[in-house]
Amino acid sequence: MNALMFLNIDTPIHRLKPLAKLFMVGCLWIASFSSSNLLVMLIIVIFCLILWRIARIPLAGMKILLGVVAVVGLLMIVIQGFFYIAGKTVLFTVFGKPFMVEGAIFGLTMAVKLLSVASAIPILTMTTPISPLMAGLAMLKLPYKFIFVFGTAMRLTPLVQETFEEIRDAQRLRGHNISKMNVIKKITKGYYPIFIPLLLSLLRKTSDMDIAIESRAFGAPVKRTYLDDVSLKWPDFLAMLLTFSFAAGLLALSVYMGWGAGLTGWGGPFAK
Amino acid sequence: MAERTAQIPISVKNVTYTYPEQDKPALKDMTLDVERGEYLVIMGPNGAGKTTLCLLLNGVIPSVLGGRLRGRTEVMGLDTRRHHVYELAQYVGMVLQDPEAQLFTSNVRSEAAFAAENLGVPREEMSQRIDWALNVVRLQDFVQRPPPQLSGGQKQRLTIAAALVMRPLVLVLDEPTSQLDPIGAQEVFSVLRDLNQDLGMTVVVSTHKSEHATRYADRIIILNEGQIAAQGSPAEVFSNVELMDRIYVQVPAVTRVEWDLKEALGKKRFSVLLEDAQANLTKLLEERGVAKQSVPEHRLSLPTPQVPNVPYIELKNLNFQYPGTDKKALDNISIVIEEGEFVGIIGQNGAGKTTLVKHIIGLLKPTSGQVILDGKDVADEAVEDMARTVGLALQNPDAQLFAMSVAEEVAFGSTNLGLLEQEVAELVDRALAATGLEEFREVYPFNLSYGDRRKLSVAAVVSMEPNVLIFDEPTTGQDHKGRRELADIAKRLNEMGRTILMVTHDMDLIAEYTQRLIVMGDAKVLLDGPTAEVFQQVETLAETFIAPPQVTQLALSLAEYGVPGNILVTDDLSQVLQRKVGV
Repeated sequence: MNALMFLNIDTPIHRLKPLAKLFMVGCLWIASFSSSNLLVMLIIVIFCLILWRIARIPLAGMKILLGVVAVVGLLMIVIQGFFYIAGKTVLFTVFGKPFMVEGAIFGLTMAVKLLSVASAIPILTMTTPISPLMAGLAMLKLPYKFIFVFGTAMRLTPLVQETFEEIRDAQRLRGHNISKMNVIKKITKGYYPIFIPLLLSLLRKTSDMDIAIESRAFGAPVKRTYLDDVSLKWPDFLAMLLTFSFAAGLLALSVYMGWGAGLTGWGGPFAK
Repeated sequence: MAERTAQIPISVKNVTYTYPEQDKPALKDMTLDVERGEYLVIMGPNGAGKTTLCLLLNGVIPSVLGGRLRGRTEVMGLDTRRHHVYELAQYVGMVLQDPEAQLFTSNVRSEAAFAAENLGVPREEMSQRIDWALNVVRLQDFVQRPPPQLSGGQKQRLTIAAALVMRPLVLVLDEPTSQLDPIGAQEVFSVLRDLNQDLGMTVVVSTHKSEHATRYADRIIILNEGQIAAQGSPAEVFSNVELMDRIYVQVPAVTRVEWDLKEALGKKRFSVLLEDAQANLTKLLEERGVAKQSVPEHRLSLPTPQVPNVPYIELKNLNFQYPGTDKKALDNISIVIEEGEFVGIIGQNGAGKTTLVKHIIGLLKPTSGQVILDGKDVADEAVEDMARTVGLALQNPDAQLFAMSVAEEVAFGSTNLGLLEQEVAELVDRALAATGLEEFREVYPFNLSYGDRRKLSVAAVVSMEPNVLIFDEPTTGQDHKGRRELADIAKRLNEMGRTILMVTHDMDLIAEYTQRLIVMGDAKVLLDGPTAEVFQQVETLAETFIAPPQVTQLALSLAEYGVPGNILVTDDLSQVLQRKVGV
């Protein structure tokens, strides 16, 4: 699943205006970043999954996210377990270096934080076509050239992937077997027959794109209009209010349980 | 002035243009008026200046591309040097060759809106313009479709709609059908015809396809080396066959046949349309008292060489379905190809040609069935290990070029095979000789012309000396000369014993070079047999929107005068007719 790719179906989440969804994702991110409490972040992940369900976003995407988070999480647990400064409880030692329980919990918390932040992204990107999203960003008074670059980058992502695969296959047919190379050979000889044609191909496509956008009056010194009416209606306000209340509730819960990491949070009422 | 600009929306006067960091001008002392309501076709070999002229007409040159410009270009009286492209775009809409590079947004409707949004058109009026433009290009039922899910023809029609929302007076299109299959090309041309004939829009289109030019153009301009080599009505231009041959512009087959019979016909201007040629030649045959009769059919062009009766490529009940789709991409395909055959594969986009080829080279594994190549099941072999047995010359040569010299590029494949330096050097020499690139061996690949880069992509594969060579769309973006040069290379390699598969939409090339033709449609093999026989199945071909070459159609239309219907090349038809009329 490409978490940036729009899912062309009609659901209540799809019908919400881009600004409302931007606000909702913003609320969830603020709640995620403000708390290091495992319970709070797990609640955010569950909330996101409910929104995924309503938006009919395939849950297979969550498996991919979980896979990525599992790898990153494992690394974080190992690194924090050995190097966490505020660690007190030794679980075991390796070559005399203690592995701290607090460090491992902190690493796990960071991994779940990553999961909660990443889970919110498809709620915006997979339910909003690029042009209304751009119109929504324009309502935030962002410069149009920045918005256009953002929109084009979203459009180019699958194009880059497609071009990369085409070039990789072309070189395989010339006996270029990168999978049999060791790391050093991959770096010195493996990648450049793929990345040089990729770079040149993308440069050529963007040059054509430049001519095409100029030919369609891009940059005309007039007040730009938008096809999509992205002004907010009552369902948008309702969704925004619900998400805001949810995020505020989570923040209150974080304060109540303590700001620290882990399930209980250090310094909160349940802290030992 | 106002009256003049209304009648002549674009005027080019004594323009000489040189691209940045180039020494040689791309256009030399060009003077041209585009008249209101005319259908102007620009033709010429690669590098003649067609794209440059198109970009000049809407002000992209010099505003966007820079470079050195002498002379003056006016769009509705506005000097293109003093007015930016966004001003001129409201008068001149532009469509480029590659639809992929012109589509930026997430659905058809928003794509059509882009230019109107840039011009600040109020939302209600914008909506009306979009509805009108999508109706004109017949995409009104696809408004929510994401562009990647459109066919090639639909994508290019969308780029036309995206220009039409600006309501331009002139539409300029640079080779808009060069990457499309016959249906896609037909869709685009029929939209252009409607715009010109029904709505009176001025259309300027560059193309290599002479059959399109002769059908629709009011005027044709032939460019060569940045200058106008000839201009006039299609009949005026193409009747100068010697000039067209000299500068490698394809002459319609019917024009060439009449030119071969010029003494018998007693005229200097020849037909450019099939129906006109048929009427003229029928009249001539009747005047000369040729009796209506029938003769036994026999093949007059390339004789089929004797090939060993040993299967080399065997597709056995091959089925394939792309993951996440509910339709088969290959439906129970069974084909046997013998060593040394030259086989053409044709069919509309989506018919399954590319999927079939990807199975032969091992890039795709069948859902069920088998591909046996040289006695081995392709599914059991790694793609990299197949390189010695089968090679693919890509449609886009630039998707594989990376080295600093032609020789280094050609050596890449054989080096990967683990051969000794001396062996690699010999293979490189042989591959460069087979493709006629010896003189360029130390040249940087991207300094070669597009046609030579295509030859280089063939040399890169030939250097591994595979027994089977697949040419994927060798004619895309190629002029008449480039097409023939690549096909000649394929023919030479075939004569050296290689098995050649050629996937293409170019019926003339198929007719002239291949011995056997496979027609695919809707994931199945519709026809498979000797090329001349397959091209006589006019009705079956029409089902998949393929027409036989023009010369075969002309021969079939004269069948009642004893002209064999299995003629594939103009020389053969000319000889038959010359004999019949006693020249």
